[in-house]
Amino acid sequence: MQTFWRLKRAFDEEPGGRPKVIIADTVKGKGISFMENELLWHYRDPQGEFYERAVAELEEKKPCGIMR
Amino acid sequence: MNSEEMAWKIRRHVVEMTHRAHASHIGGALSCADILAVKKGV
Repeated sequence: MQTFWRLKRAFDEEPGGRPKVIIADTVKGKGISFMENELLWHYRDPQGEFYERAVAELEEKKPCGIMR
Repeated sequence: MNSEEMAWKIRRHVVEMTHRAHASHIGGALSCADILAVKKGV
């Protein structure tokens, strides 16, 4: 949750008449445990068991507000 | 919908679309889900 507030602050911050750039230190594959920081998952597409596991992981973490 | 929910939906769509298309740069798409959620959402 802290991530979202930090991002919002970065976007809202006034650069005082100068250009603004935001550099985000991101994790490739973020959100699916077996994909995070794994080179193969930079460009791979999820099939078979990988697809099932990815969906299962997301369903487990589904926020309460989402109905379907 | 708050940012957390939006980010989740983005990730769910990323997995589904890359799966169906048999193609992706899934790593990069997942990595920017939170940024997109804040930028486009609440």
